[in-house]
Amino acid sequence: MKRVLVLLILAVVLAGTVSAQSLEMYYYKQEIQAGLKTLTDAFTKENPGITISLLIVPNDADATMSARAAAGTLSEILEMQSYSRVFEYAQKGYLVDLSKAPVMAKVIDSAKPAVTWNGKQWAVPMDFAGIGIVYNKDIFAKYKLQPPTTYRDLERVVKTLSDNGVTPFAGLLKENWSIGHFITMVHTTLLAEKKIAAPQFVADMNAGKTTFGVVDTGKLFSVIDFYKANMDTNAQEMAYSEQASAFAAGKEAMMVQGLWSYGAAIDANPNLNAGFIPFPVSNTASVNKFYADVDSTFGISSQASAPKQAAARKFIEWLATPAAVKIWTRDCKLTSDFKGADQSALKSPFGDLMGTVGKNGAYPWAFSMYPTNVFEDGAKNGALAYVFGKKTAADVIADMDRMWAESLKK
Amino acid sequence: MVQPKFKVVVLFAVFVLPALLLYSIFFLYPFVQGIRISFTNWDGLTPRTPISMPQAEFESTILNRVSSVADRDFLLATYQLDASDNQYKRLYVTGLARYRLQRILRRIGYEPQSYRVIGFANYVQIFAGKVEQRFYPHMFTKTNFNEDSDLPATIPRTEFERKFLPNLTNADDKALAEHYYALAGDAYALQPQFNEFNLEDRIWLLPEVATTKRVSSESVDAFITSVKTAGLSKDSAALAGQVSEFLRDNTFSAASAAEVTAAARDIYGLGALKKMLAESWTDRQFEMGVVGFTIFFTFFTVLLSNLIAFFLALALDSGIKTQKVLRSVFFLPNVLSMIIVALVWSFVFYNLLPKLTGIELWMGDAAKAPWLIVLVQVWQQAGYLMVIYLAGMSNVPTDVLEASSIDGATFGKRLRHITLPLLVPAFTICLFLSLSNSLKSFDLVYAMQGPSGYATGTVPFVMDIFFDAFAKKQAGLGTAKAILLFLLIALVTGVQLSISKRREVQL
Amino acid sequence: MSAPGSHKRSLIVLEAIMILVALIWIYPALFVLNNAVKPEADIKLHPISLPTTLTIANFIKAWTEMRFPQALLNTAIITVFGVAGIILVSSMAAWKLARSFGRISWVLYLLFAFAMVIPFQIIMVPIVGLSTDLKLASVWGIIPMYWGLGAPLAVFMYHGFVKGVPRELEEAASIDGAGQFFVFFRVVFPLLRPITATIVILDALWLWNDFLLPLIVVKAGTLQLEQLHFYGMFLREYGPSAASLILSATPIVIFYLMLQKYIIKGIAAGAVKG
Repeated sequence: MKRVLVLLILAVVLAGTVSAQSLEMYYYKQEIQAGLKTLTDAFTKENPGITISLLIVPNDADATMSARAAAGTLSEILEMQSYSRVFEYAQKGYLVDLSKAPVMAKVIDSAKPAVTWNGKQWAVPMDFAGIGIVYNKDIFAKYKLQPPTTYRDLERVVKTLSDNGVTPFAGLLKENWSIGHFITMVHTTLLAEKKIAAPQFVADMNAGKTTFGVVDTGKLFSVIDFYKANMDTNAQEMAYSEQASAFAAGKEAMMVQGLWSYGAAIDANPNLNAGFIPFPVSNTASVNKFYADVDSTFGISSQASAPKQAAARKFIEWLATPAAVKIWTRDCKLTSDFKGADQSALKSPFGDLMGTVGKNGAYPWAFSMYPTNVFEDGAKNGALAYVFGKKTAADVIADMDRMWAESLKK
Repeated sequence: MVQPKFKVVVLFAVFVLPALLLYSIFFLYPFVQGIRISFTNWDGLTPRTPISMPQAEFESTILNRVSSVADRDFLLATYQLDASDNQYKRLYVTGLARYRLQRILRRIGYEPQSYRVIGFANYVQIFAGKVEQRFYPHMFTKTNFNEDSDLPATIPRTEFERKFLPNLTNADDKALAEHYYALAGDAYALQPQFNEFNLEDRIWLLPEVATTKRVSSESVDAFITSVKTAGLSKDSAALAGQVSEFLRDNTFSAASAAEVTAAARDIYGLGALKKMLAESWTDRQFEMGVVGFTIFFTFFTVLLSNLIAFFLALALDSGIKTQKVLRSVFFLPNVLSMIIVALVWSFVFYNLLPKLTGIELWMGDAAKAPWLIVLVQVWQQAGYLMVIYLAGMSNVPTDVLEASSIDGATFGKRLRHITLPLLVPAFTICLFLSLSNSLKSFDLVYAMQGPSGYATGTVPFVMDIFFDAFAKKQAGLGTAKAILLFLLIALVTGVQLSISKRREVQL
Repeated sequence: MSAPGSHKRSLIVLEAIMILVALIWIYPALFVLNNAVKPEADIKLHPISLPTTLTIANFIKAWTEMRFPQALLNTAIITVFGVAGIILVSSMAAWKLARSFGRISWVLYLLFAFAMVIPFQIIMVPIVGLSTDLKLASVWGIIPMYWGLGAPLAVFMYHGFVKGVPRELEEAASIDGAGQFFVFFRVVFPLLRPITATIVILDALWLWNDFLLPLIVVKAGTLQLEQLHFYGMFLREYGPSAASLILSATPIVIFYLMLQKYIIKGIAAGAVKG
């Protein structure tokens, strides 16, 4: 025992002191941790004085980030979800106003609403992500299936697949976030069927003028039931990794997911031949669009000291350079929100996304615009509880409305 | 030897103060702060002292209300006017400066909107049943079918016979249900002629829709939806109206028109069954809620881990050869962190058990999940308690046991009259440790399930608090719940300790 | 009354049963070990079977991505100094409190005992604020926080034990003119060895495995935190995470095996007397 202690103390003394001053970057996109490392290393190489250490919080990133914000220990560079999360931190004063930063001029205009609160920009939009159906082209070809453009087509595809013993959708019901995306995606398309734009709906909810049940709720929940009924039978045991690797292995023909999952799938099976289409909620083909928007954004903590803020700004500015964009698209496998960015490193499903969005437009991520609690608890937990039979459809809607009203009181 | 009094006091202080100070700084002070937070509406994010504020608002609500010159200077040193957007911005303050700033703001009565003292409101809310329903134990009617969805292809036999048929009072309804669904193996299967997809295809595949596309998919979709709606409300007049309108607005051949009418009638017919399934295929079930699950979890982990630990100790105290090795084996799970434990078991539940048993759902099955979490906690905790029981057993004098066994006392009698009474102190300490551990358990469920535990009804009290405080941005409410939990633990362990102590004295 | 022969036979049966139970008991741990040396694809396809191809790639990946040497060092620093501090301040305080008969010492003792039932969630947010105010948000900074947080249980256990230690020895030493510090460190502290062993073990397990406080105070760089690199919401690599489990648990398992004898004695002593 004594010897162990002496050895340990010796080791501690030898280890010496901490290295030079550095920035810390907080991120939640765990799937790009290797890419981010390449990105920050490349930055340090060009700017030898500044090192950036990466801080991952893989679960409940927001919980930990709020605890640190409240305690004054925020990292200097913050990766945040677009819209509400940025707005929330901006409103409380934790973010530096980046409106006048030169980099904002390089951001494509359509990405700016995701970071604009009170007329100013509080973060740099980094990637444009779409949620839809990633489908296995080989399986579709085998059964002579065309990518569906209407709900009826989708039902037909699903029927053909099930009749041939292929599971249509890769399951993910062990975690609540994916089904949370799903319910809001269907909801947003159903809003469009009623000719209500998502930002308008959010504004009306904020004004207390409408309800989450303004759409065809029968259809909303029947699509959820349809989705669940055609998933793997053990979907309740499947988390994100299981979903992506099962899909990559060709166990299922489709995966309703954001395109960020493509990286994980292609890692599991480099020969995967996949395409990407909007989830067709409606039987009117033109109503079906990608659920796509700015996903991650980078902001700077206002609580950082002036020299650190300056260093962090340097990093943020550097992100728009071709070298940085190249690493971002190649190693993080994400699209870029900068004007004229070279996206050629991205594989074909990204082409599907960008091409379709360019042609038909996209629905913005309504869930990012909801008050955070409404999405975190109302949508994610509500939809999962519905799927598990622990909540009725009416309860899910009533809870969304109640939580929304509560969040307005603050 | 009598020491001068002041020397006694000084020595007392020298020995006790380091621990007392550290304890007060890192435990008592945060605890008092915690109590304070429980009386506020804090959202867990709003800083107590604003970080930036428009110039006019800052001057009127804060600066001009500070009377002391020193405080005013301090404020102006901490907040600097950013002329570019007319905002006062606070520098990063920490330590004493932060406390001084808080004191100044408190004195002038400034409170951020989401960090106001609201008295007992959080507590009232909890006791009045106003927080999320899932917090409390409650009854819940589970509906197994949503009337707007497609009819399920199969319904498990037990569900159909126990939860659906008995709820149908009308004999005609029963006949109808059995007309649609026929027993095949251990499930009732929807008869192929009622497959909704096929019925709808009779319209979708008509040449006017599929080939010439003269009839748009929007209008077919709208038509089928309206027929379904009519079916659910058993409104035959509406059906007739929809059909004639659809045939009037679109041009169909005579054969197609007849097919539309026939198919529509069949789709309409499904409505009666759908309505029945939605209303009668239900089960009323008890939901434990956060409070109930915490009690369930605590009760069973305390009971099972103590029982298992006791019997393990008994077996390993019997003089078997491998007892030393086995002790380490049973103790091993206890040196692993809860995070590791959760990961190990996630492997087992997803990869191992389905292959071994053929049963697919484990943690994902709301009926099994609470028990599996108890299982894991027991597995982790039993070895530790076992060691304490073993220690207690080593206090039982062997000569007494041997003498009694020569006198012909059976194993059971020896256990009851000699071993058990001597083990009462060990029971006391084991109960105390397992009770407070179980009530405070967080890492395990957090690592195994996270917030998704709400869907399986397996969120313990402390995790609910964590979720409230940060994800839901209700730190005030969450802390109030934590204070109530603290009182509960104090009460439960206090009662347990005093009962145990009394028994110890009696014996 | 059973014959000695049948007694022996029943012992053998019992032994066989217990070995079987023990195997089931550690099966989950063996399962992880088994999978840590398999390639990722094998884990997903054949999680139960023994490895057909052995690989150390998972360990290499876990080692580098966790920055294992640094994480091990940080965790060791926290554990060693944290436990040492708890032992020092708590034993001193508990001895004085147990040896002084006055209302004040009784109240102080109760004050310490009271903390054992406080859920960490109440003090979580304030303590993070405190860590920045006192500039303690670091590997070294968290150590004094543990001294304060660990004091209640340690004082409680020492207090119970000291009451059972005879006063004569220390009184004799005092009469010889020895100072209080000499009496405590040379006479009393050695007598407290059994309970000290217990507390060392309990607290070492706690600090080594603690997750929540390091997560919000130190942020990264301890074994428990670095393990999450492979096992999160958006990424789940079974092979490296199994390897990281083994890497992180090995030191504490070795510690346990080395001190097994003391642990069982120590816990026994602490539990029954405390």
